[in-house]
Amino acid sequence: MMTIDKVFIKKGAESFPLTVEILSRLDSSLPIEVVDSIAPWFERLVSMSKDPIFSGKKILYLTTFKGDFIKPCPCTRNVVCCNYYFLNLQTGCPIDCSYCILQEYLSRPFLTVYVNLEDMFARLDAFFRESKGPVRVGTGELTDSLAIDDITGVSSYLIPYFKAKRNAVLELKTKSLNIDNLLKIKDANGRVVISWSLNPESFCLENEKGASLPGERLEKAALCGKHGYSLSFHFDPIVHFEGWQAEYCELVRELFAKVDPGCVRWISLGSLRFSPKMFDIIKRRFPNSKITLSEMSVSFDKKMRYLFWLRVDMYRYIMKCIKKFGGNVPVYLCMESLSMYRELDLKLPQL
Amino acid sequence: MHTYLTVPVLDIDLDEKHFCFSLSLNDESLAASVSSVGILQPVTLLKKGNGYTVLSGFRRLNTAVRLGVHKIPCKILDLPEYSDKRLWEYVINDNFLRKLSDIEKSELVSRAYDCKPGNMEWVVSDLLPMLGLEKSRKTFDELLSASSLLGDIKALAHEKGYPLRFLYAISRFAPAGQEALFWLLSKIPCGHNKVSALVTWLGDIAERDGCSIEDILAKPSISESLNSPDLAPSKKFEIIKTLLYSMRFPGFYKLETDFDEKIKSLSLGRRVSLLRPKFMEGRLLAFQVNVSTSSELADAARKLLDISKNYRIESYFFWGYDDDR
Repeated sequence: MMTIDKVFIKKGAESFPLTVEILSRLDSSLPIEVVDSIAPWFERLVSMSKDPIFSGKKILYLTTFKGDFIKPCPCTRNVVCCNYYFLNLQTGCPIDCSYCILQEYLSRPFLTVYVNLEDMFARLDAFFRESKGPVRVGTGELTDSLAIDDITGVSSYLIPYFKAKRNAVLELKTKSLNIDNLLKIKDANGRVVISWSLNPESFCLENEKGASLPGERLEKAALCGKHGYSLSFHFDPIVHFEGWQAEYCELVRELFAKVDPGCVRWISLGSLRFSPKMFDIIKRRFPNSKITLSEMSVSFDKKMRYLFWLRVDMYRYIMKCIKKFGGNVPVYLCMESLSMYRELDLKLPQL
Repeated sequence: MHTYLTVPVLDIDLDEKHFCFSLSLNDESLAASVSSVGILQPVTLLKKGNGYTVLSGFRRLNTAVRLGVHKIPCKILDLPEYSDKRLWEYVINDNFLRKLSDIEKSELVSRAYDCKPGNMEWVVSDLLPMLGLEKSRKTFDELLSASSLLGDIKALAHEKGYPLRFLYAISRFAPAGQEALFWLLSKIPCGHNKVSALVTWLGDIAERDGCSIEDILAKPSISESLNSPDLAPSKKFEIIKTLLYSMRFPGFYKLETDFDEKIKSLSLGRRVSLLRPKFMEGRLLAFQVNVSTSSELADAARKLLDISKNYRIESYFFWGYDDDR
């Protein structure tokens, strides 16, 4: 699924155990270069590549992270917060989704892996010592949590750590089928939630280049559930197109036909949204995608969204399907307003 | 090294326009200046055989010829060895003081690239920064796309100073669409800030509905408004904007117009107004009361009470989106 054309290692990051481990898993013929700075390579990519974002997805950059590894999800203004913390372990994603905000958000599109794991665990220890209530932590904010786990193997370190944490839940969110490392871990418990984004197959084929199909994701989810992991699913972004009801209904039916509802810890729903700048990026990079032709307008947090009442209809319909096929699985909304929670009579998100 | 000479126009190859990227060769203000004081800034020439080829100064030269000037001041480049690449760098430097429009920049880059196709790296890394543009492949691609626009559109783009992003959006249209767009833009002579949304909407409607730009603009409601001799250009612009908005965003348009109709039906008077909800989100209506005395406030309160008794305010939240709700 994924092709890496070149590896850059930040000077000083060569000797970290994770760097050594990652390099041992890569094809030995891959060009590897130790660099003082990645900036010149980024400039070269911008000046020469027809699609720097796509080209950047083929470059693996191993470096150390100097900032704060764990941060609260930066909910935009007027949005109901879902108490999510993200763990900054990687940025960039090999999957190329038309609607992905990373296209705009990341200043450099490389697959960047922070190799100073010891620093990260030290920071996590301090964070959990200070935190009072239960915390939901995810690694899928600026990357796909598992898409390159076959190369990084980071899940093998994270899962055992979080299994032992009483006041935390780790969510690994993905569109990939990379669960081999997960299945090697024995005694998975409910504190680790493996999560898949879901959308109807017709939409995925058009808008999620390099991702697995939803049916395949559900098969892997079922395996993880049987292995003892908790599961979660994200219907995000929910898109409006002709015949959306039938396709979403079928997707929900398939989900609960393959996956035991008892394993599903939560389902989130979020409608298509992006900043106005994204329109131009999507039109250029995905000229065949229909998503920019939808009727969207600037919304309460300055993002483009569908009409409020159209979103209400879509959420209500999918929630009805979830209820029908999955029973009382908890549902929350991602990046929605308090007005929307009220309209749908939904409880505010809890862990 | 270079030499300054006064050169007979006959010695200059006027047909060689390889380095000409100017879109306004017939500049009347320049003609007035040349008539009055002659050519002050020498034209840059390159010796070629027994004559000369022009590197920069096409507008000055063209104006001089038009005015019947026989000899003009020139700067002759004395280059023992030169490449097209070097000459283009001279051309850009020579035009440094003149503010080039984005469409002129696209012409320049396209011609420079044509002299060595495949040499994109030189154009992107060296020429684009000299033109004050971002050193990126994306900008290069946009410039090449803009240079392929129809002549009429290019001339308009130069006159109006349309920016590159806007030109790139137009370049996505087929030639017939560009022709139709030129017709539209010539009827509503506005700056790009006003018309860029129209161009985006036109492209989106055409793509969504599988029709052409010319089909959309040929719709009677649009073409009749544009051809009407009684409407001022600003009025035409407003009409076309509303028509295209209603086609691009039919749901929002219905919602907004329905809401405005409902406000009218309330007969609010001048002291109370109902504001159009921001973003049309949720269930919150905001009334605004404008009063300066207690009795006016009492009037406004009576009006609000009257509305609460006689109208079902709850129905205002489904602003036309789903009537069955």
